[in-house]
Amino acid sequence: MKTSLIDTVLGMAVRMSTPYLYAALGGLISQRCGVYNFALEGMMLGGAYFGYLFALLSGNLFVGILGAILFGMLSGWLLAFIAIRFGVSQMVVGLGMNTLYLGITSFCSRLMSTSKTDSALPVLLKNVGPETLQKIPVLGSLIFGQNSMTYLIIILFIVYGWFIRKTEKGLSLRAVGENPAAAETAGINVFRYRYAAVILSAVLASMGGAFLTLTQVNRFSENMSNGRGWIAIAAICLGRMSALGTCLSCFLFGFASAISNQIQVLNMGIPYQFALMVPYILSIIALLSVRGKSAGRPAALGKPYLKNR
Amino acid sequence: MHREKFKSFLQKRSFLITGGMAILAIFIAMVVGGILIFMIGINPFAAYQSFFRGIFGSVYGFGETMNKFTPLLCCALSFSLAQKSGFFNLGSEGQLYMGALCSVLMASHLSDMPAVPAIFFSVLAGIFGGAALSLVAGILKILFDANELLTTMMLNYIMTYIIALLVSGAMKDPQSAMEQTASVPANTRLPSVLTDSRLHAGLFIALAVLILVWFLHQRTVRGFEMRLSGINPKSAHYAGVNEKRALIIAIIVSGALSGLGGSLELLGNQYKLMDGFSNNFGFDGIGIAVMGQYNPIGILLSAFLFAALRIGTSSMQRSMKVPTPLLYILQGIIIIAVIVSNYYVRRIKDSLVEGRPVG
Repeated sequence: MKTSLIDTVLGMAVRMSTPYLYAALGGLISQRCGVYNFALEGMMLGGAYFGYLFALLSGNLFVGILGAILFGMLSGWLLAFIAIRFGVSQMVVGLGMNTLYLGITSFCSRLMSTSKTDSALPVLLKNVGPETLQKIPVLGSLIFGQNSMTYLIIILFIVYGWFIRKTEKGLSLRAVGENPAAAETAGINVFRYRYAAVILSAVLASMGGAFLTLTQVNRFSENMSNGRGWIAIAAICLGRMSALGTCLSCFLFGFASAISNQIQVLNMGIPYQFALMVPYILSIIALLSVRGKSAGRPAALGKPYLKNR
Repeated sequence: MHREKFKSFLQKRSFLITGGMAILAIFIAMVVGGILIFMIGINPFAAYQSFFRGIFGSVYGFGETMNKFTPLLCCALSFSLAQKSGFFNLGSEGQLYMGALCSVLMASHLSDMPAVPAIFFSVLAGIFGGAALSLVAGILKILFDANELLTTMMLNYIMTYIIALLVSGAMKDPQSAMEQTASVPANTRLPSVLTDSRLHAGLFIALAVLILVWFLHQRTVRGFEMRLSGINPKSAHYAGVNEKRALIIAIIVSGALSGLGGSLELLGNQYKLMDGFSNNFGFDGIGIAVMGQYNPIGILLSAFLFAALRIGTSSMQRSMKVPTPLLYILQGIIIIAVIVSNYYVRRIKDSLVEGRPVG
C-alpha cells in the first residue's frame, strides 16, 4: 500500500511538472535573449484551447499539437513584434496578451457550449513505456509510465543546455541577452535572435498548455491554466536561469502539485482549498531562497533595444 | 506658417495626441469586437446599441456603471502609485479581497453602532487589510530581494483560495445554501445617492481619494521622494532620500488603495463576500493605469471606460446573447493598442520638439 502511494505520487509529480517544464523552457529561452515573456500564462491557455479544438475537429491528437504550435507561433510573433519592434514595456504587453487570450479562449468555449458542439476528446495521448516495466516499484511509473510529451520536453531541456553552452549560436544568443549593442557590433543580428527566441518561447508554452487538454483532461475549461505560467516564471527564478536548475525547480513544483492532488483524493480532512494553495506558497518560499542581485539574469533582460538609438 | 502654429499648439497640448491615440485604440477594439460579433451570427449594430443602452440608457444602468467605476479607480490608483515608486504591484486583486474580508469581519461586529462610525471603522479595516497584504510582498522584496511581480501574483491565487475556504466553511452564512457570508448589517452599508439606481456613496470616497493621492504624490516631500526612488533608487539615495522608507510607504499606500476598493465594493454594492466577488477588478486596474498614462485625469477617464465596458458587455450578453468574455478581448486589444500607440506618441513628440517632420 505504502509503496503504491509513493509510486503514484512520484509518477504524478513528473506528469504534473510537464506543463511547468514546457512553459519554463519557453520563458528561459526568451529571458536568455533579453526579453521577458510575461504572456506565458495566456499562451498556455491558448495552447490548451487550440490544441483541444484542433484535436476535436480532426479527431487526431497530433493535429491538436500542431494546432497549439500554430497558435504559439502566431502569438509569439505578435509578442515579439510589439515588444521588440516598438520597444515598449514587456510587462504590460504580456499582461495585455494574457487578458486577450483569456477572452478569446473563454469566448470560443462559451460559444461551443451553447451550441453543444463541445465534447470530450475520445482518446488521450497514452503512456509509452511497456506495461511490464511500469510495474517496477517506485521507479516504474516514474520513468516508464510517462507520456511522449514528457519525454520530449526532457530531451528538449538537454538540447537547450547543450545549445546554450557548447554552440556558437548559443553563445550569440547569450550575447544578445547580455549586451545587444556589442552583439550587434560583432555582426550578430539582434532582432533575428530575439524574434526567434520569443516565437520559440511561445510555441513551447502553448505545447505545455496543450499537454493539459490532450493528456490530462479531455476537454477545455475556462482559465484552466490557473497560474501555471506564473509558476513557470518562478521556477526560472528559482533555477537561477540555468537549464538544470529550472528543470529541477519544475519537478519541485510538479511534486507540490501532486501532493496537493493527493491531499484532495485521499480526503485527509484537510480542506481542498489548502491543498490547492500548496504550489503557490511553495513558489513564494522558493523566491526567498534566490539571494543575490543578479541571480544569473542577463544584463540586458527586460530592456528594450532599439536600433536607431 | 500655418504648420508652425499647429506644431506649437500640439506641443503645448500633448494630451491631445495621447487622447487621440487612446480613442483610436478604443475604436480598433470596438471594430474587432464588432467583427467577432458578426462572425458568430449576431447583428453587431444591434449588439452595440444594446451595449450603449446598457450604460447610458437608464439611470439604473448609469448607477451600475459608476458602481463598477469605484473599485476600478481604486485599483488603478493602487497600481499606478506603486509603479511610479518602482514597485510592480500585480497583487491588487488579492489585496482587494483582503480589504473586503477585513471589512466584512469588522462590519459584522458593528451592528449596534450609529451608521457613520460603523462605516468609518469598516472601511478602515479594509484599508488596513489591503495594506497588510501588500506589505507582505514589500517585506519579501526589501529583505529577500524577492521579485514582487511573482510574489504579488502568487498572493492573489493564495488569497482567492483563502476566500473560497472561508466562505464555504468558517464564515459561511448558515441561513443560505450558497457559499457566501451573511450580508453586512444595514447600518454599515454605504447609502445610495441617486434615486432609481443602486449608485452608492463610495464613488465620492474614491474620487476624494484620487485627489488625495495626486496631492500626496505631486505636492508633498514624501511623494517627491517616492517618484525619485521610482525613477532611480541609487541616485535618490545619493541625493539623501531614504529610498527604502519611500518604497515602503508607497507599498503600504498602494495596498491600502486596493483594500479600499474591496471595502467600498462590499459595503456599497455586494454586501456579502463570496467566491468570484472581485471578478478581475485588480487586473483591470493595471490596464486602466497603463491606458491613463499613470496620470490622474487619464486614469479617471480610463476607469470610466473599463467600467462602461463591463456594463456594456453584460448588457449585450443579456439582450443579444453575446458571450461576456468579449469583455476581456476588448480590454486586451485596448491595452495592447495603447501601449503600441505610446511608441508613436513618443515619436510624434520628439519630432515636434526637434522640428523634424512628423513620420
